[in-house]
Amino acid sequence: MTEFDDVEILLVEDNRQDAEMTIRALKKCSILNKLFWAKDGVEALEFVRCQGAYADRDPSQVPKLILLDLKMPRLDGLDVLRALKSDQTTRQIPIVAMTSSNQERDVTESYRLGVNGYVTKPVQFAAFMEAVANIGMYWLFVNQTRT
Amino acid sequence: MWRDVTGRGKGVPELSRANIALLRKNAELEQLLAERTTERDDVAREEALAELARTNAELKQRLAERTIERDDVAREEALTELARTNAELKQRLAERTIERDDAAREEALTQLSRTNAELKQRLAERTIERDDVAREEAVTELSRSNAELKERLAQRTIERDEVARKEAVTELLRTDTAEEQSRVHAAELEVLNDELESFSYTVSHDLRSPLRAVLAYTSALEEDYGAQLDDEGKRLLGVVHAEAGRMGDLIDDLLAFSQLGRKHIVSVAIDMDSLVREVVAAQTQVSARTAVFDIGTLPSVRGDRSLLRQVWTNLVSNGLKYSSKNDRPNLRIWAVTEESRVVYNIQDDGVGFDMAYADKLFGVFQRLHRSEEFTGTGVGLAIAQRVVERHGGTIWADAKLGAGATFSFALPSGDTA
Repeated sequence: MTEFDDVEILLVEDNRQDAEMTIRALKKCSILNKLFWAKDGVEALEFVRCQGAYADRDPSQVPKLILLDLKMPRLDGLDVLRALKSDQTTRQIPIVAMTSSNQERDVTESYRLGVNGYVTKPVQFAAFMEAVANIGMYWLFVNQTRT
Repeated sequence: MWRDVTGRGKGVPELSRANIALLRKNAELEQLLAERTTERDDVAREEALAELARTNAELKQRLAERTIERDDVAREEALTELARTNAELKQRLAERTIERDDAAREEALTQLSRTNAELKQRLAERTIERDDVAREEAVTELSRSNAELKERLAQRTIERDEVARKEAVTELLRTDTAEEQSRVHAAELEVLNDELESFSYTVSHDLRSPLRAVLAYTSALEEDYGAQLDDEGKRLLGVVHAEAGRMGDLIDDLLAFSQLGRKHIVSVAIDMDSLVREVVAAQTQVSARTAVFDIGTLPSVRGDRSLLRQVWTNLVSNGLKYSSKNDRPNLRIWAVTEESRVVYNIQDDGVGFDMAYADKLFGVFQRLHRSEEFTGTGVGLAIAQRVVERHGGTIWADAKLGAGATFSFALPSGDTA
């Protein structure tokens, strides 16, 4: 059992503050599921595929939800989305894009690649908290995923 | 041509024959005269000469008339020939110095007349032949002249064409330049548009992100350490949070406004009655104000439902905001159907505004009230105007300071479905 086991939420976010606030928002609404924070797209893919630093991770353990930022260095969110949704073994993982961008082209492209949800991070703290809580509640408790 | 005619051996031999006949007659006459020893009649001779001269004159005249179109050389040759023949005849006649009897004279005259007639005929024949040649030459000349004229005309036409072409080219170049300029402008606009888009993307992502952090961390600070702050500490933290929040609203509104220009309009038939009632319900719920709405019948038009919902939302929230100091605000919404458009109106009994500043009403970030008095970013009406204008409509306002305001917008009703 490593620190990478039993991870239910994979947060892919290059911005430390956004990551911290997302984690805080989830805790605040009692979503205490184990969360792993990947700092960019490359790390996210290595984590899911049990490669590199995560080679020892149990491949049978798949995150229940991926919260994915879009604008990231190295491999960006759309690349991660494309990679995970075109792979038979990972395509069923619910992915919610959480991004600062509300550009139509990003929304359109994300849905084309098969994203399960798209949320523009609200600037206002209360709205941000509410958005994160809603996402967590819906995908972890309300939505029925394929097992 | 004269040579041609004489070359046929017609002229001279026959003239010679005539001369021979004349000579013979003369010989006979001379013989007769010699035999007769007559006294000459000067008058008769003079008459004969006068007759000859007259005949000659006539011939010359006719010849002249006929040879008008003939070339000078031919005429001169013919005249010379005639003159020569006449001179010979005259000389011979003169040489005779005889007193002729009337019969002989008459005979001679008859012979002369005949000769003359023959000559005339020949001349006529030759004239015809020569005329033919002359006509051909004339035709040739004409053709040549024609060709020359045509050439000149062609030359001039070419010159003129060249001028015209140059003018056309100049015109084309001017047109091209204009087109090129408009292309350049379009390209520049495209670049500007791209820049604007990447600018708004930058604003959207890079400006909101740190602001979100400021708001989140001040909130976290207040949640986790609020108890350790005294009232002044809490107040200062509250100001930081509120101001950062206002900045966030400004950025969001500015983004929404800038994205309006690029947003694709989805035109559908809109049930304006239900749309407005939805908006009013949502706004009164949010504001929890006890405003009274009087909503008339609102005709349907075609337009983008979500964009027009935004217009109504902004106008209704505006009306509620500026009448919020009333105990019981009254808002009236009604429509007037005109020939090719529908005018929608919303009237409040709020603080109104001075019409002197009406032109600033729809500008981005333009406000007629201090934010301490009424909150807002000053983008709502700018958004409303932009949406209405993108639907081919117009928006305006009428107000009086302290006596409420009426906002109206007209949408084309031509293609109402």
